[in-house]
Amino acid sequence: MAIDSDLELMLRVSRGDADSFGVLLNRHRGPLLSYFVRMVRDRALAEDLAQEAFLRVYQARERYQPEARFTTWLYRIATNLALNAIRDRKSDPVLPETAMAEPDGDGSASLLERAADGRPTAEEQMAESDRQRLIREAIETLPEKQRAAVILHKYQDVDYRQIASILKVSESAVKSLLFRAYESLRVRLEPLLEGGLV
Amino acid sequence: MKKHCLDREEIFLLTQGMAGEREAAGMMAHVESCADCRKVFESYRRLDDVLAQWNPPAEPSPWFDARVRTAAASRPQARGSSGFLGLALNRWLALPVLASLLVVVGLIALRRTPRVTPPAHAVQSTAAVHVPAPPAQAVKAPAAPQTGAQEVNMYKNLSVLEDYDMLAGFDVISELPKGSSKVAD
Ligand SMILES: [Zn+2]
Repeated sequence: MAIDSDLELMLRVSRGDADSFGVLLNRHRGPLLSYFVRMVRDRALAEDLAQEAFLRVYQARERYQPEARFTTWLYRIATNLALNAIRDRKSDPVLPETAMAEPDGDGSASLLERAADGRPTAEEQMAESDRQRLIREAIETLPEKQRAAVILHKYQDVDYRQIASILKVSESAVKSLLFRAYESLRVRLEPLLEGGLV
Repeated sequence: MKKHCLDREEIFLLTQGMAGEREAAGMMAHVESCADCRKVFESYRRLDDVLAQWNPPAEPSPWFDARVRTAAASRPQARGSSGFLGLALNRWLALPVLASLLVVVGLIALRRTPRVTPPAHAVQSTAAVHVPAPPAQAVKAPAAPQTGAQEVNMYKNLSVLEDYDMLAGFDVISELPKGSSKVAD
Protein backbone atom coordinates (compact mmCIF):
# COMPACT_ATOMS: atom_id res chain seq x y z
CA MET A 1 0.00 0.00 0.00
CA ALA A 2 1.38 3.34 -1.03
CA ILE A 3 2.07 5.86 1.68
CA ASP A 4 0.36 9.15 1.00
CA SER A 5 2.53 12.21 1.09
CA ASP A 6 1.79 14.91 3.61
CA LEU A 7 0.92 17.17 0.74
CA GLU A 8 -1.69 14.80 -0.68
CA LEU A 9 -3.18 14.27 2.75
CA MET A 10 -3.34 17.98 3.46
CA LEU A 11 -5.03 18.68 0.14
CA ARG A 12 -7.65 16.10 1.04
CA VAL A 13 -8.09 17.70 4.46
CA SER A 14 -8.66 21.03 2.75
CA ARG A 15 -11.45 19.35 0.77
CA GLY A 16 -13.06 18.17 4.00
CA ASP A 17 -11.57 14.69 4.49
CA ALA A 18 -11.32 14.19 8.24
CA ASP A 19 -9.64 10.77 7.95
CA SER A 20 -6.65 12.35 6.22
CA PHE A 21 -6.34 14.81 9.06
CA GLY A 22 -6.22 11.83 11.42
CA VAL A 23 -3.35 10.34 9.40
CA LEU A 24 -1.39 13.60 9.57
CA LEU A 25 -2.04 13.82 13.29
CA ASN A 26 -0.83 10.30 13.82
CA ARG A 27 2.26 10.85 11.70
CA HIS A 28 3.42 14.15 13.17
CA ARG A 29 2.22 14.41 16.75
CA GLY A 30 5.25 12.55 18.17
CA PRO A 31 7.92 14.67 16.45
CA LEU A 32 5.94 17.85 17.07
CA LEU A 33 5.53 17.10 20.76
CA SER A 34 9.25 16.44 21.18
CA TYR A 35 9.93 19.75 19.44
CA PHE A 36 7.75 21.57 21.96
CA VAL A 37 9.18 19.65 24.92
CA ARG A 38 12.65 20.81 23.92
CA MET A 39 11.48 24.34 23.20
CA VAL A 40 9.41 25.01 26.33
CA ARG A 41 10.48 22.14 28.61
CA ASP A 42 7.19 21.95 30.52
CA ARG A 43 5.64 18.67 29.43
CA ALA A 44 1.99 19.65 29.90
CA LEU A 45 2.44 23.00 28.18
CA ALA A 46 4.24 21.25 25.32
CA GLU A 47 1.27 18.99 24.78
CA ASP A 48 -1.15 21.93 24.85
CA LEU A 49 0.96 23.74 22.28
CA ALA A 50 1.26 20.69 20.03
CA GLN A 51 -2.52 20.32 20.09
CA GLU A 52 -2.92 24.00 19.39
CA ALA A 53 -0.57 23.72 16.40
CA PHE A 54 -2.66 20.91 14.90
CA LEU A 55 -5.80 22.83 15.60
CA ARG A 56 -4.44 25.82 13.69
CA VAL A 57 -3.47 23.58 10.80
CA TYR A 58 -7.02 22.31 10.70
CA GLN A 59 -8.53 25.76 10.98
CA ALA A 60 -6.34 27.08 8.17
CA ARG A 61 -6.80 24.02 5.95
CA GLU A 62 -8.49 25.98 3.19
CA ARG A 63 -5.57 28.37 2.99
CA TYR A 64 -2.96 25.63 2.67
CA GLN A 65 -0.58 26.38 -0.19
CA PRO A 66 0.62 23.15 -1.79
CA GLU A 67 3.90 24.76 -2.85
CA ALA A 68 5.05 24.85 0.77
CA ARG A 69 6.05 21.57 2.36
CA PHE A 70 3.58 20.47 4.99
CA THR A 71 6.24 20.17 7.69
CA THR A 72 7.54 23.65 6.88
CA TRP A 73 4.10 25.01 7.47
CA LEU A 74 3.55 22.89 10.59
CA TYR A 75 6.88 23.90 12.13
CA ARG A 76 6.33 27.54 11.30
CA ILE A 77 3.07 27.48 13.23
CA ALA A 78 4.75 25.49 16.00
CA THR A 79 7.75 27.80 16.24
CA ASN A 80 5.54 30.86 16.54
CA LEU A 81 3.56 29.20 19.33
CA ALA A 82 6.70 28.08 21.15
CA LEU A 83 8.43 31.44 20.93
CA ASN A 84 5.30 33.22 22.14
CA ALA A 85 5.04 30.84 25.08
CA ILE A 86 8.69 31.46 25.95
CA ARG A 87 8.16 35.23 25.74
CA ASP A 88 5.03 35.00 27.91
CA ARG A 89 6.97 33.08 30.50
CA LYS A 90 9.75 35.67 30.50
CA SER A 91 7.33 38.56 30.92
CA ASP A 92 5.47 36.81 33.72
CA PRO A 93 8.04 34.94 35.77
CA VAL A 94 6.09 34.93 39.05
CA LEU A 95 3.14 32.58 38.95
CA PRO A 96 0.72 31.37 41.58
CA GLU A 97 1.59 28.19 43.43
CA THR A 98 -1.55 26.50 42.16
CA ALA A 99 -0.02 26.42 38.73
CA MET A 100 2.82 24.38 40.13
CA ALA A 101 0.54 21.97 41.91
CA GLU A 102 -1.43 21.11 38.83
CA PRO A 103 -0.91 17.49 37.89
CA ASP A 104 0.64 16.71 34.55
CA GLY A 105 -1.80 16.80 31.69
CA ASP A 106 -5.05 16.87 33.62
CA GLY A 107 -6.32 19.43 31.14
CA SER A 108 -8.14 21.58 33.68
CA ALA A 109 -6.79 24.66 31.91
CA SER A 110 -7.87 25.19 28.34
CA LEU A 111 -5.37 25.36 25.53
CA LEU A 112 -2.77 28.07 25.97
CA GLU A 113 -4.24 29.18 29.27
CA ARG A 114 -2.05 26.94 31.34
CA ALA A 115 0.57 28.74 33.35
CA ALA A 116 3.88 28.31 31.61
CA ASP A 117 6.38 28.49 34.39
CA GLY A 118 8.56 25.83 32.77
CA ARG A 119 9.93 24.51 36.04
CA PRO A 120 10.27 20.75 35.89
CA THR A 121 8.17 18.62 38.19
CA ALA A 122 9.87 16.48 40.82
CA GLU A 123 9.34 13.49 38.58
CA GLU A 124 10.96 15.23 35.64
CA GLN A 125 13.89 16.27 37.78
CA MET A 126 14.43 12.69 38.89
CA ALA A 127 14.39 11.43 35.35
CA GLU A 128 16.80 14.06 34.05
CA SER A 129 20.45 13.22 34.51
CA ASP A 130 23.04 15.90 35.22
CA ARG A 131 24.32 15.47 31.71
CA GLN A 132 20.90 16.01 30.19
CA ARG A 133 20.32 19.00 32.41
CA LEU A 134 23.60 20.62 31.32
CA ILE A 135 22.72 20.19 27.66
CA ARG A 136 19.20 21.50 28.15
CA GLU A 137 20.40 24.53 30.10
CA ALA A 138 23.04 25.29 27.48
CA ILE A 139 20.43 25.26 24.73
CA GLU A 140 17.98 27.28 26.82
CA THR A 141 20.49 30.09 27.17
CA LEU A 142 20.71 30.55 23.40
CA PRO A 143 18.86 33.48 21.82
CA GLU A 144 15.44 32.30 20.64
CA LYS A 145 16.15 31.99 16.92
CA GLN A 146 19.40 30.13 17.53
CA ARG A 147 17.58 27.86 19.92
CA ALA A 148 14.81 27.09 17.44
CA ALA A 149 17.35 26.58 14.65
CA VAL A 150 19.45 24.16 16.72
CA ILE A 151 16.46 22.13 17.84
CA LEU A 152 15.01 21.94 14.32
CA HIS A 153 18.39 21.04 12.82
CA LYS A 154 19.76 18.71 15.44
CA TYR A 155 16.70 17.01 16.90
CA GLN A 156 13.92 17.35 14.37
CA ASP A 157 16.17 16.59 11.43
CA VAL A 158 14.81 19.50 9.44
CA ASP A 159 16.92 20.58 6.45
CA TYR A 160 18.55 24.00 6.82
CA ARG A 161 16.78 25.31 3.70
CA GLN A 162 13.50 24.38 5.32
CA ILE A 163 14.61 26.02 8.58
CA ALA A 164 15.20 29.22 6.61
CA SER A 165 11.62 29.10 5.44
CA ILE A 166 10.29 28.27 8.91
CA LEU A 167 12.17 31.14 10.56
CA LYS A 168 11.69 33.43 7.57
CA VAL A 169 15.38 34.18 7.20
CA SER A 170 17.85 33.51 4.40
CA GLU A 171 19.69 30.20 4.08
CA SER A 172 23.00 31.88 4.86
CA ALA A 173 21.39 33.39 7.96
CA VAL A 174 20.45 29.89 9.13
CA LYS A 175 24.04 28.73 8.65
CA SER A 176 25.24 31.69 10.64
CA LEU A 177 22.63 31.14 13.39
CA LEU A 178 23.66 27.52 13.73
CA PHE A 179 27.37 28.33 13.71
CA ARG A 180 26.98 30.93 16.46
CA ALA A 181 24.80 28.56 18.44
CA TYR A 182 27.34 25.75 18.21
CA GLU A 183 30.15 28.09 19.22
CA SER A 184 28.22 29.06 22.36
CA LEU A 185 27.31 25.47 23.10
CA ARG A 186 30.92 24.38 22.66
CA VAL A 187 31.96 26.77 25.43
CA ARG A 188 29.05 25.95 27.75
CA LEU A 189 29.38 22.22 27.33
CA GLU A 190 33.14 22.14 27.69
CA PRO A 191 32.97 19.97 30.86
CA LEU A 192 31.16 17.28 28.89
CA LEU A 193 33.44 17.60 25.87
CA GLU A 194 36.63 17.42 27.88
CA GLY A 195 35.64 14.51 30.02
CA GLY A 196 35.73 12.19 27.03
CA LEU A 197 32.66 10.52 28.50
CA VAL A 198 30.81 10.90 25.26
CA MET B 1 49.17 23.70 3.58
CA LYS B 2 48.47 26.40 6.17
CA LYS B 3 47.36 29.00 3.64
CA HIS B 4 44.54 26.71 2.58
CA CYS B 5 43.27 26.23 6.10
CA LEU B 6 39.55 26.54 6.56
CA ASP B 7 37.95 28.92 8.98
CA ARG B 8 35.88 27.56 11.85
CA GLU B 9 32.56 28.27 10.21
CA GLU B 10 33.55 26.41 7.05
CA ILE B 11 34.62 23.42 9.11
CA PHE B 12 31.40 23.59 11.12
CA LEU B 13 29.29 23.64 7.95
CA LEU B 14 31.27 20.68 6.64
CA THR B 15 30.46 18.65 9.77
CA GLN B 16 26.77 19.49 9.40
CA GLY B 17 26.48 18.65 5.71
CA MET B 18 25.79 22.30 4.95
CA ALA B 19 28.94 23.12 2.97
CA GLY B 20 28.47 23.82 -0.71
CA GLU B 21 28.34 20.61 -2.75
CA ARG B 22 31.13 21.66 -5.07
CA GLU B 23 33.47 22.71 -2.30
CA ALA B 24 32.77 19.94 0.18
CA ALA B 25 35.04 17.29 -1.35
CA GLY B 26 38.04 19.63 -1.51
CA MET B 27 37.42 20.86 2.02
CA MET B 28 37.18 17.34 3.32
CA ALA B 29 40.43 16.41 1.62
CA HIS B 30 42.12 19.30 3.38
CA VAL B 31 40.69 18.38 6.77
CA GLU B 32 41.96 14.84 6.38
CA SER B 33 45.46 16.04 5.63
CA CYS B 34 45.67 18.91 8.16
CA ALA B 35 45.98 18.19 11.87
CA ASP B 36 44.81 21.68 12.91
CA CYS B 37 41.66 21.63 10.84
CA ARG B 38 40.97 18.03 11.77
CA LYS B 39 41.11 18.98 15.44
CA VAL B 40 38.43 21.60 14.91
CA PHE B 41 36.41 19.22 12.77
CA GLU B 42 36.49 16.55 15.47
CA SER B 43 35.53 19.03 18.18
CA TYR B 44 32.27 19.76 16.33
CA ARG B 45 31.68 16.06 15.89
CA ARG B 46 32.13 15.56 19.62
CA LEU B 47 29.76 18.39 20.36
CA ASP B 48 27.20 16.75 18.09
CA ASP B 49 27.61 13.50 20.00
CA VAL B 50 27.07 15.29 23.31
CA LEU B 51 23.98 17.09 22.01
CA ALA B 52 22.56 13.78 20.80
CA GLN B 53 22.35 12.66 24.41
CA TRP B 54 19.55 15.09 25.22
CA ASN B 55 16.42 13.05 24.90
CA PRO B 56 13.65 14.31 27.16
CA PRO B 57 10.62 12.01 27.28
CA ALA B 58 7.90 13.21 24.91
CA GLU B 59 5.18 10.61 24.63
CA PRO B 60 1.82 12.03 23.55
CA SER B 61 -0.94 11.41 26.09
CA PRO B 62 -3.67 8.89 25.14
CA TRP B 63 -6.20 11.70 24.77
CA PHE B 64 -4.02 13.80 22.46
CA ASP B 65 -6.06 13.19 19.29
CA ALA B 66 -9.40 13.44 21.06
CA ARG B 67 -8.53 16.86 22.44
CA VAL B 68 -7.48 18.15 19.03
CA ARG B 69 -10.67 16.83 17.43
CA THR B 70 -12.87 18.24 20.13
CA ALA B 71 -11.19 21.61 19.94
CA ALA B 72 -11.38 21.58 16.14
CA ALA B 73 -15.09 20.88 16.32
CA SER B 74 -15.90 23.36 19.05
CA ARG B 75 -13.91 26.34 17.86
CA PRO B 76 -15.12 28.27 14.87
CA GLN B 77 -12.92 28.35 11.84
CA ALA B 78 -10.43 31.17 11.67
CA ARG B 79 -11.65 32.31 8.26
CA GLY B 80 -14.12 31.20 5.63
CA SER B 81 -17.84 30.69 5.64
CA SER B 82 -18.04 26.91 5.82
CA GLY B 83 -17.65 26.15 9.48
CA PHE B 84 -17.09 22.72 10.92
CA LEU B 85 -20.73 21.76 10.45
CA GLY B 86 -20.31 21.55 6.71
CA LEU B 87 -17.30 19.27 6.92
CA ALA B 88 -16.62 15.66 7.51
CA LEU B 89 -14.98 16.40 10.84
CA ASN B 90 -18.41 16.47 12.36
CA ARG B 91 -18.35 12.72 11.94
CA TRP B 92 -16.37 12.88 15.14
CA LEU B 93 -18.62 15.31 16.85
CA ALA B 94 -22.00 15.45 15.25
CA LEU B 95 -24.33 18.25 16.25
CA PRO B 96 -27.04 16.01 17.74
CA VAL B 97 -24.48 14.40 20.01
CA LEU B 98 -23.16 17.77 21.08
CA ALA B 99 -26.66 18.99 21.83
CA SER B 100 -27.51 15.99 23.98
CA LEU B 101 -24.15 16.29 25.70
CA LEU B 102 -24.94 19.85 26.59
CA VAL B 103 -28.22 18.80 28.14
CA VAL B 104 -26.45 16.13 30.18
CA VAL B 105 -23.81 18.59 31.34
CA GLY B 106 -26.50 21.13 32.13
CA LEU B 107 -28.42 18.62 34.22
CA ILE B 108 -25.28 17.67 36.11
CA ALA B 109 -24.63 21.34 36.79
CA LEU B 110 -28.17 21.82 38.05
CA ARG B 111 -28.01 18.77 40.24
CA ARG B 112 -25.04 20.35 41.96
CA THR B 113 -27.17 23.34 42.91
CA PRO B 114 -28.91 22.32 46.15
CA ARG B 115 -32.55 22.83 47.20
CA VAL B 116 -33.94 23.89 43.83
CA THR B 117 -35.76 22.14 41.04
CA PRO B 118 -34.56 23.20 37.61
CA PRO B 119 -37.23 25.11 35.71
CA ALA B 120 -37.96 23.70 32.31
CA HIS B 121 -36.84 26.81 30.45
CA ALA B 122 -33.43 26.63 32.09
CA VAL B 123 -32.85 23.17 30.69
CA GLN B 124 -33.96 24.39 27.32
CA SER B 125 -31.52 27.24 27.28
CA THR B 126 -28.79 24.80 28.26
CA ALA B 127 -29.48 22.81 25.12
CA ALA B 128 -29.27 26.01 23.11
CA VAL B 129 -26.07 27.04 24.78
CA HIS B 130 -24.38 28.11 21.53
CA VAL B 131 -25.70 31.61 22.17
CA PRO B 132 -26.44 31.79 25.88
CA ALA B 133 -28.38 34.76 27.14
CA PRO B 134 -26.20 37.17 29.08
CA PRO B 135 -26.40 36.24 32.78
CA ALA B 136 -27.11 39.87 33.69
CA GLN B 137 -30.43 39.65 31.89
CA ALA B 138 -31.50 36.74 34.05
CA VAL B 139 -30.53 38.55 37.22
CA LYS B 140 -32.61 41.57 36.23
CA ALA B 141 -35.80 39.55 35.68
CA PRO B 142 -37.92 40.87 38.56
CA ALA B 143 -40.64 38.19 38.46
CA ALA B 144 -38.37 35.31 39.36
CA PRO B 145 -35.30 36.49 41.23
CA GLN B 146 -34.46 33.03 42.52
CA THR B 147 -34.68 31.51 39.10
CA GLY B 148 -32.43 34.26 37.83
CA ALA B 149 -29.74 33.52 40.37
CA GLN B 150 -30.12 29.87 39.56
CA GLU B 151 -29.58 30.56 35.93
CA VAL B 152 -26.49 32.62 36.67
CA ASN B 153 -25.07 29.66 38.56
CA MET B 154 -25.92 27.41 35.72
CA TYR B 155 -24.13 29.57 33.20
CA LYS B 156 -21.14 29.76 35.48
CA ASN B 157 -21.04 26.00 35.63
CA LEU B 158 -21.24 25.86 31.87
CA SER B 159 -17.68 27.09 31.60
CA VAL B 160 -16.96 23.42 32.06
CA LEU B 161 -17.95 23.02 28.42
CA GLU B 162 -14.73 24.69 27.40
CA ASP B 163 -12.78 21.97 29.10
CA TYR B 164 -11.70 19.77 26.24
CA ASP B 165 -10.77 16.85 28.45
CA MET B 166 -14.21 16.79 29.92
CA LEU B 167 -15.77 16.63 26.48
CA ALA B 168 -13.14 14.26 25.20
CA GLY B 169 -13.93 12.00 28.13
CA PHE B 170 -17.25 11.16 26.56
CA ASP B 171 -16.47 8.05 24.55
CA VAL B 172 -19.35 8.75 22.25
CA ILE B 173 -17.31 11.51 20.63
CA SER B 174 -14.43 9.34 19.60
CA GLU B 175 -16.51 6.29 18.87
CA LEU B 176 -19.17 7.95 16.84
CA PRO B 177 -20.20 5.64 14.01
CA LYS B 178 -19.71 6.81 10.44
CA GLY B 179 -23.33 7.15 9.51
CA SER B 180 -24.38 9.24 12.44
CA SER B 181 -23.74 12.63 10.97
CA LYS B 182 -26.95 14.17 9.85
CA VAL B 183 -25.40 17.19 8.23
CA ALA B 184 -24.96 16.69 4.51
CA ASP B 185 -21.80 17.98 2.95
ZN1 LIG C 1 44.17 23.25 7.85
